[in-house]
Amino acid sequence: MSASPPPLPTLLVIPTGVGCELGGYAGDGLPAARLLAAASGCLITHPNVMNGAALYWSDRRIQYVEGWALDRFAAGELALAPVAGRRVGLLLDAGIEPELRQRQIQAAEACRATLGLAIGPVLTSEEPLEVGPSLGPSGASWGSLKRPDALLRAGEKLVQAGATAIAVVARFPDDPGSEALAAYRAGAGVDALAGAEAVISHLLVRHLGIPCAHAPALRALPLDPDLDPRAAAEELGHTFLPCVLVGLSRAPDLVPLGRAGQSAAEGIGLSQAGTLLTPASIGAMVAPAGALGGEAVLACAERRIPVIAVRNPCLLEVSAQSLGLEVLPATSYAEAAGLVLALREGIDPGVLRRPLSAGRPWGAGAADPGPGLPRDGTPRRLRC
Amino acid sequence: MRLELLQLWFKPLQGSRLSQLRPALVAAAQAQAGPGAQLLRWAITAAEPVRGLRIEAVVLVGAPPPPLRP
Repeated sequence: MSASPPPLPTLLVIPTGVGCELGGYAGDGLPAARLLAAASGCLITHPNVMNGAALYWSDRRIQYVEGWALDRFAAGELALAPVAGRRVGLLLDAGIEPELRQRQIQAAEACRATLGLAIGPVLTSEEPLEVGPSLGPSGASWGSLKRPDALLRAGEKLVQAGATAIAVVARFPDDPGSEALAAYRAGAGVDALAGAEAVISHLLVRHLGIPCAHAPALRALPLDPDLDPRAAAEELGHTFLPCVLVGLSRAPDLVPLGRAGQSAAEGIGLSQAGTLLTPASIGAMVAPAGALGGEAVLACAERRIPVIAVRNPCLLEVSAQSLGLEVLPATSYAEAAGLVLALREGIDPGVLRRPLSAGRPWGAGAADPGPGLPRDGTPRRLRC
Repeated sequence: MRLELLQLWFKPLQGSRLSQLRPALVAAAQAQAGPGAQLLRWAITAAEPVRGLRIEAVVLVGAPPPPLRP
């Protein structure tokens, strides 16, 4: 009998474009993701956490799931089916200049030749997508594009041509002199592109039902000797594409639930292949303590999945207290990993603190089977 | 097909926030952008005792419903 407990599928969310001190830059949430993957044995997280431009980390225990699909998974509407590999189509914005376009294609060719990824076909949108980043009243990064129809048509053509995932590269406006960019590069600002990037990938995933992720096309910035290390990954090369191609190359299939009488709430545990991750198998959610107002966190909280709220300052102050949520607080991602490990081992996290709490910290009722266990109380048997 | 930004304040009652938020957001999206407007991305970006929850969102107008497929 193995000494290792079964994996505890854990969601990690570090919202895009809200300036999280850890994870709000160029893939600087990746070390935390690696630690949580080791603690849980199965981590589901989104591209903003994993993408470090030319830097990436591939780990079979980590499932790379775009934000729209991750929200649907947390809400019980989708399951995830891990895959050995997939063919990633490359969608290029017609607004990208020829030289910059060639850089993207060469990055894709490098990933194919050096990493062995299945990439192609490559397709250019019929018209420029005209992406426009913007900031919301909170200061969070949002954004839009003027030609969503051109984006979706190009995505449809790639699927028809055999792509089972899509990496999209859109031209973003260069703004090398902006105060916002200077603050970001100094490690004190919001990723101004992130909101529009999320809109692009949400549109594609929602429409096509396959994994998609985005990398911006931008001209190289002038050298900044004071560059913050968290933003440095974006200044190592000519494109931000390699991490997206690597992430998508093993992103899981998105399997809609709720059809043919299949109940998302009941879950189905394992597929015949033994690898289907269902919403019922989620054992924990990890999110920044001040950014708990996203759909995935709220859905987990309402499904009584333990929410671990990690101190990770950002420009939002949407806390557990302000939302009336019960959470497990953690002062760092290292502590969060310890809590995940405790849940995985069946240890009540409440008994690891003093004074000993009277009740269960996640507020479970008497009928609740315990942290992360399926609602029918059956033991979890999952591979990630 | 087009995208619009949306902002609203919403004061939820006791009980499930999501089941209150989703219809309120869809109603606000359709009031702003017309019938058929759908939510693409949203988040609560402030929570205040008096005004309630501030939600920022991106709304998709003129698109078919998401064709979720296996």
